[in-house]
Amino acid sequence: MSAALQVVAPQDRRLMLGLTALLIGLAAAGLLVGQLSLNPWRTLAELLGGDPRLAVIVWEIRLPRVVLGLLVGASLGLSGAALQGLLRNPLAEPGILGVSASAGLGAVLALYFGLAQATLWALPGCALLGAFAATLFLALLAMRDASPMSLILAGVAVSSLAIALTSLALNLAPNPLALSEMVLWLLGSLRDRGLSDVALAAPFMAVGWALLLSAGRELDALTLGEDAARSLGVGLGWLRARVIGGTALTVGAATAVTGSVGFVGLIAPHLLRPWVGYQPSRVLWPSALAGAALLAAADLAVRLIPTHQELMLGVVTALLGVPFFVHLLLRVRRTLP
Amino acid sequence: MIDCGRWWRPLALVLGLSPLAALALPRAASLTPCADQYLLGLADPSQIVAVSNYATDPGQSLFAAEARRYPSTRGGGEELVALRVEVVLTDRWMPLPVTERLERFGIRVVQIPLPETWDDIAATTRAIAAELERPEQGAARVADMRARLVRLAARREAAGQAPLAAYFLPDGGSAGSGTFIDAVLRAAGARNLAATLGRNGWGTFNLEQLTLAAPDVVVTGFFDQGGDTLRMAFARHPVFQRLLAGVPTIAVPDRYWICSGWFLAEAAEYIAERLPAAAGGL
Repeated sequence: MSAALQVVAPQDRRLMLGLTALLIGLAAAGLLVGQLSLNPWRTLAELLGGDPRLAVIVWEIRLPRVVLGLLVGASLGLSGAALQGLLRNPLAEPGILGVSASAGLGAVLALYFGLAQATLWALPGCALLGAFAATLFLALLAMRDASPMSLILAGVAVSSLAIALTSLALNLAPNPLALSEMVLWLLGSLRDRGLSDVALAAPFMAVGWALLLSAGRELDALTLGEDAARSLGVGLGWLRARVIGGTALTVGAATAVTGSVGFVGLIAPHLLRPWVGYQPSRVLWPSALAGAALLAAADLAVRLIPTHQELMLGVVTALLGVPFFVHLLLRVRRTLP
Repeated sequence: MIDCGRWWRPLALVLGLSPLAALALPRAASLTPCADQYLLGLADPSQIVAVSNYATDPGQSLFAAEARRYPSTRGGGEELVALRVEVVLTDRWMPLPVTERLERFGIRVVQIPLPETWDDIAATTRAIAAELERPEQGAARVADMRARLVRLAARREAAGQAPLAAYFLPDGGSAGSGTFIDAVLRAAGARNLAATLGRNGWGTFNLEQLTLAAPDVVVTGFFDQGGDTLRMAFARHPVFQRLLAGVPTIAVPDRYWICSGWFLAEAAEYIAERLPAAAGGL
C-alpha cells in the first residue's frame, strides 16, 4: 500500500522547523499569558518556584485550552488542505462547505435528545456522522460537476440547512435557554475546556490525521485528473473514502468540543502555497502545523483583547479568513471561467 | 424550609369573588417567565386571561400551580386579540415592532424593567400593580418584601461577619455590584465576591480568577437548565468542580430569581437559611 505516512520533502524541512518553532512559541505564550493580567516572567518564576495556585492556572486551565487549540487547529488546517486536494478546489474548507455546521448539528442532536448523557462517545460520534454526511454529499456532487463555484454554492446550502436544523433542534429542546447556545455552535470557543475534552476528541482526531496524511501521494496524482490518477494505480474509491472519513473524524471531533471555527482550513494551506506550491502531499503536514499555530494565535488574541465578554474564536478567524476568501474567489474566477 | 409566599391566597380569592373588584379590572396577559410572575403575583385571578408557555413550569415559576388555571399563549398578536386582552405584560427586551403592532390593536404593552435595587424593585412592583389597577396588591407585596428584608437584617446583625459568597451561572456568568444578585446576596447576609473584586454590573468570572479567590460559599443559579452542553463548559471544568467540592454550595432554584421583583426577598431568605459562617468567624 502506498498509503504510508508522507515523509517531509527535504526542501520543506526548514519550513516545518520554522512552523514548529512558531508553534512552541505560541504554546508557551498560551501557558504564560491569560485572563489574569499576570506578568508572564513572574508567572514562570513562581510556577517553577512551586506556587500551587499558579500550577492550577497554568496546568489545569491554560494547558487544556492550549492543547485543544493546537489539536483543533491542526485538524482544521489538515482537513482543509486534504479537501482542497480531493475536490480539486482551492476554496474548499470544512467551515465554508458546511462540514463544521453539519458536525455541530450532529452534536446538538446528541446533546439535546439524551444520547450524550447515555454514553460519552455519542457526542463526538454524532458530530462525526454529521460531518461525514456533509462531506460525502459534497464529494458525490464534486464527482458529477467539477465546477468550483457549484461546489461552494452547494456548501453554502449544506451550511444553511445544518444551521437551520440546529436552530430547530434547539427550539424543540425542553430548555428555554437552549437557543442561546446557538452562537457557541456557530462561532466556536476554547474557553473553560478541560483535559476531559481533549481526551474525548483526541482519539478521533488521531485516526483522522493518519487517514488524511496517508493520502498525500495519491492526491498529487489526482491533480493530473481522475483518469491519469487511475492509470497511475490510484484507487480513487479508497482515496475518497480516506479523505472523507478523515475529514469527518477530525472536523467532527473538533466541532463536538469547540463548536465550529471557520476559515482555518482555508487560510493555513494558502499561506503556505508560496513555499510548497500546489502539490497536495507537500501541503498536508505544513497545513496541520500552520492551522495549529493560527488557532493558538487566535485563542491568544481572544484572551488578550479586553472585551467585557470573551470574544468567540470564530469571530477572529472569520475576520482574518473572509478577506482571504474574497481574494481567492477573485483569483479563481480569473483563472477558471 | 418555610413556605413563605402564600399568605395572600385567601385575600386574592376574596377579591376575586367580589364582583365589584372584577368589574372594572383590565383583562391582562403575560408573555415571558418574568411577566408571568408579575401577573400571577399582582393581578386579580378574574382579570388574568393568559400566561406564557413557561408559567406552569414549577422549576421556573413561583406561581406554577396558579398558572395552570389559565390558558397559555406563545404571545402572538392574533392570540392576544382573540382573547380580548387589554394589557400585556412583557420584558423590556420585547422587539419594538411587536409592541407597536399590539398597540395598534388597542392592547396596552407594559414592559417590566429589570430593577437592580430593593427601592427600584418596590417602585417597579407598585408601578406594574398600578397598570393592572391593583395598587393595594402592589402595596401588600412591597410591604411583605420590606418585612422580610427587616427580618433578614436582624438575622445579619446576629450573625456577625458576613461570609464571602461567589455567585455563578453555569457559563461562568456572575454579577458584580449594582446588580439585583448583589442586592440579594447582601440582604441574605453575604459579601459578594464579584463585588469585592471590584466588578460592576453583569459579566463573567474566569476560571483563572477563581483559583485566586477563596469564597466561603458558592451560590449557583440556573444550573439545572443546561444539561451537559457547550454552554456548561465552565461548570464542568475540574477547577470549578474542585471549588464546589471544597466549600458549601447553595443551589438556588431558578424560580426564586427568574427575574427581578418583590419575590427576590424569598431568594434572599432561601440563601440566608443555608449560609455557612464566615471563615474568619470560626
